[in-house]
Amino acid sequence: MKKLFGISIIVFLSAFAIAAHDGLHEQILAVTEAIKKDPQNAALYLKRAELYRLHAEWKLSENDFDRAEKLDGNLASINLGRGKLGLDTKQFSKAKRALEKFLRREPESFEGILTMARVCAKLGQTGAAVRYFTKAIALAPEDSAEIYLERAETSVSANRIDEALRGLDEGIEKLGNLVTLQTAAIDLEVRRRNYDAALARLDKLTAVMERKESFHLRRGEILYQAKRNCEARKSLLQAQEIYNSLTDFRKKVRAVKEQIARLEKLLKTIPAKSCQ
Amino acid sequence: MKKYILSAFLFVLFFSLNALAQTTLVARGSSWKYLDNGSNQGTGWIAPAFNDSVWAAGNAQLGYGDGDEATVVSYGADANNKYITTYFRKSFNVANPADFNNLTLDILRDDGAVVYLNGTEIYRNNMPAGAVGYQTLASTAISGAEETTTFLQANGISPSLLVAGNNVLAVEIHQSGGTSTDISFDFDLIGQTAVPTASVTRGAYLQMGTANAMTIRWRTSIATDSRVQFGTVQGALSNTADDGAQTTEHEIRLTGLVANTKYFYSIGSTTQVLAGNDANHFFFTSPNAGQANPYRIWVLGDSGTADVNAQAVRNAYLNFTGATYTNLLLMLGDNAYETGTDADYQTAVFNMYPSVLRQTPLWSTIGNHDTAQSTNPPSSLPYFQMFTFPTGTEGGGVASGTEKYYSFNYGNIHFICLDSMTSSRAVGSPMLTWLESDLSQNIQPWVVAFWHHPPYTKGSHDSDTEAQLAEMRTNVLPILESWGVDLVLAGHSHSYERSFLIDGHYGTSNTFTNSMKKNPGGGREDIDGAYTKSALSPNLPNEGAVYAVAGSSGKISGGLLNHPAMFVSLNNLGSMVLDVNGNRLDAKFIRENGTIADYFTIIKGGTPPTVPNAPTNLTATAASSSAINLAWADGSTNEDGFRIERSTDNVNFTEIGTVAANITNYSAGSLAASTQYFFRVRAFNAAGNSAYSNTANATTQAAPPPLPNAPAGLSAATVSASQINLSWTDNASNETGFKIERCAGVTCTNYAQIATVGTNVTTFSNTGLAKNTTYRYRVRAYNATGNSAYSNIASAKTLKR
Repeated sequence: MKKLFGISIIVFLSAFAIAAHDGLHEQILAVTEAIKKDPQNAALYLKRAELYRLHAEWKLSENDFDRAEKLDGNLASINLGRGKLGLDTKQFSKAKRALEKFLRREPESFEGILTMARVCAKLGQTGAAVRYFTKAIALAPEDSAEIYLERAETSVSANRIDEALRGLDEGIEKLGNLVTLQTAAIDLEVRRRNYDAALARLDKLTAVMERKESFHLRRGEILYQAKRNCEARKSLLQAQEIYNSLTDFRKKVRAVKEQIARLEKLLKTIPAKSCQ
Repeated sequence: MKKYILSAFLFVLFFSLNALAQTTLVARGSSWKYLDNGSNQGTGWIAPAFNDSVWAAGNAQLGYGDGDEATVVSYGADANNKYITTYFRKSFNVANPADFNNLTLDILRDDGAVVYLNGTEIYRNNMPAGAVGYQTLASTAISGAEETTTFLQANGISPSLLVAGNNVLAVEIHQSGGTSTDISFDFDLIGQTAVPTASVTRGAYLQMGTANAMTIRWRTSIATDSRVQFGTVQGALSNTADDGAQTTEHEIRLTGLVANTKYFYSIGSTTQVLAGNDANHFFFTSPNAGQANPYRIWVLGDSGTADVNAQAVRNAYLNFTGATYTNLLLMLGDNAYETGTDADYQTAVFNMYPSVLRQTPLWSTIGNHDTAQSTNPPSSLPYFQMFTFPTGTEGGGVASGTEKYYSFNYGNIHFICLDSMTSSRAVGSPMLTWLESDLSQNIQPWVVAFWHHPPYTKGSHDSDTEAQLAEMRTNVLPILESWGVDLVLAGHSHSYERSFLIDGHYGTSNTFTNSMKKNPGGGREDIDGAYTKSALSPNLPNEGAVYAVAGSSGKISGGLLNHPAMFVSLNNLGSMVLDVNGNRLDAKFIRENGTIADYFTIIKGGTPPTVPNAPTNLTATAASSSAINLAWADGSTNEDGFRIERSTDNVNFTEIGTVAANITNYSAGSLAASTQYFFRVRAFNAAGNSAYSNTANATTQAAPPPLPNAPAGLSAATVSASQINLSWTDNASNETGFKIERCAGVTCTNYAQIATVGTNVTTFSNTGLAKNTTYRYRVRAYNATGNSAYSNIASAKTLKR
């Protein structure tokens, strides 16, 4: 999971570093025209700095932040923008300094807190990152699984599994029994060899799913890992019975084919006679 | 939460308006100038400019003879010839007469009264008509409460009589005769504010329609409470759903609706119908999942220009569809240029498509202009404020926990809305994890996915070079295709581009090969034949899907338009229409001039499936006081699943759940104890429902008895060197018996059960004990549910010999 998280975030961020955004260029031109007419307007430079940042024109973005600050040092959003820019350009310490300034002015800014959490995570400052993520969750205008998962991944990166699980449970409590959160929690329970807890979570998820075969398979895999082979075999057979009843079409689904292959491989290692 | 800021503002606004709604200009008990000398003041005294500085002043109630006056006025020297008229004047200030649209006065008068405002008579009571002089008698003598407490009210006094600044009331009170014993006078004048009338400024528009529920939203010019009246007969809306909160953003969720049914409705407040209850305000609930009827879906992409282009595209569709109902409206993002503000949405969406929005549920995905290019927009974003999409299982899909991406079923179609703008598109990201889970649970034969950034385009955007587009292609398409997606819709490029039936193209355009075309034709039934897939099934992995960019509903922006995966690429305005009927999907691109510029058909399976056979041998077995287990035999080989229905009277059945194909058991839970339930099951597939199975019934087990109360007063008495007798008090009335436990030793705690005794037995002789040994005892009652708490502990020591 850790690796996936890492990839996710890198891809997520780099996406915006290379993306050509619809309308951004036009917006930059429009703001540039406005600046020509009103060259002392700090807000216009700030707006263009943000547009340049979104357009991955880092130096131009920074120049405009500088100009905006020179014209009106009281604009708090300048430091938020600098924080985001630092995150985009991997200048994390610089980003943190800017965000600290911003948060002194606007300590309840969701965007500022979330950006700070990500910057701290990048700097390896796990405790601070988790605290900021927690605050971001509290301030988040709309609940979503993403921040809970990001926080959990930050905890996991410091091997704070219990903390990660508590955080995921908080999300489950708030957002419901989401497959996105619960599967992450199951993986962590298995990682710390708390197999009964993993199974309990899996059962909770299974209960709300109409198609249960992949969950029986996962159950078998967890039990096998827990060296409870005969129980594992029972779950695997339960899954196998459903897989066998699937239409040929469904059996051709890549994910289903992979599951059946996993199932068969595992079943071979637990012969029936070993459980008699 | 999402409407908190706006609600708070409206709350303040509303109560501010209410505070202004009624203003006391002159209060009861106020101080009045008065003249009580019996003189003839003619008519000059009523003029505002009259100088009353020499008059006396006193607080109301003014008068004499009743004993309740705050100020006693004079009636003259002769009690048998009292003054007939007493004069009163009162000045008050009005800042802006235009604040008021009505004046109301309340007057306590004994006997007769005439009231003037700024010199104009505004009220007369108990006085003869015509000119009134200082010796004019009141018409009748007043007595009883009207002398002391009853205020008469006059409404509808024109506020145009008021002037900005100083205003004057003049009142004359007349006796009914010289020997009358009393007069009374008190007064108030109330100004009423012109409270604006609420009107609908947005909507109605429909959200999150399901088989049994529909959300209706609208906006009003001022805050009111919310009411939707609805029913299946126009003009007879027999059902009402209210929300008492004062708001301009109204949102009412109608529940308990019947599937696939036409409902008429009206919107308004508890005091006023603002719109509807006519032929234009209606909707159809969704059919039950799996139901195969003809469905029409209108697809708009990048439509948010709010200009003649969008109007032309709209009109072309409305002309095309005519009287055919639009079951769903899909919006592919960039619904409101330039930055998706509330005002942008008002003009580009709510003012543009009102006739469709009030009849057809709208489902949308978020585009880059809806977030003003932000990838981390706040919840105050108008898009999130104005739309209501499922976060749980409301629509029939797996819960996503967010309105940014979600799924829902409409009959035999499973729709998946993804977020290509603000959510991570990476492998293993929450959205993709959810997507896999959702697809693995889907049992509907048609799968249509939509989002904003197209995986293939060479229009005003290039899917070879732009990250969102490339990531959706490389990370999302393999999942969708492996689960047999049929159609993918996107916008972003302001053109119409439509692919062949393709599979497995996840790279840049130069990696596309002819082998990726599952069908090299255009999918046109009358020219080169429809695209076909092997069966009407939800899972036809890698049999091909059609990808359409339909981002020209508001503007066209050209581009190379040469992506090799595309069968057709057009730089034309237009929108898409999908008609799904059983095992066929017909799609058309309707240009702004009404011509059909592209069309294709997908047919799944050679012939439509037949209705499955009915399940048989249904049995019901009580599993507990709250659950009954069902089992049946699968009578068909082509079902998509089974529907389970329950009844308590064997007449009225309600569907309580569905299970997937080949599943032949179900546990019905949340039942009442000791209650007989009837069940029946039927299979379903895209062709419809089978006949019902036999009806089976079972009665839930009786609720277990409560735990018995714990016994008390346990005492232990030494009888001999080997016997101790116990006795206790029975505090329960529902015990099966008592369990006696013992341990040896003064401080022992290792109790073991040594005996049980029956109901109501409260003694026990413990024999065979060791001599000179202390034993400790405790007792508890038990029944079928379990054990009570323990009694107190009692101990005794056997004799030495």
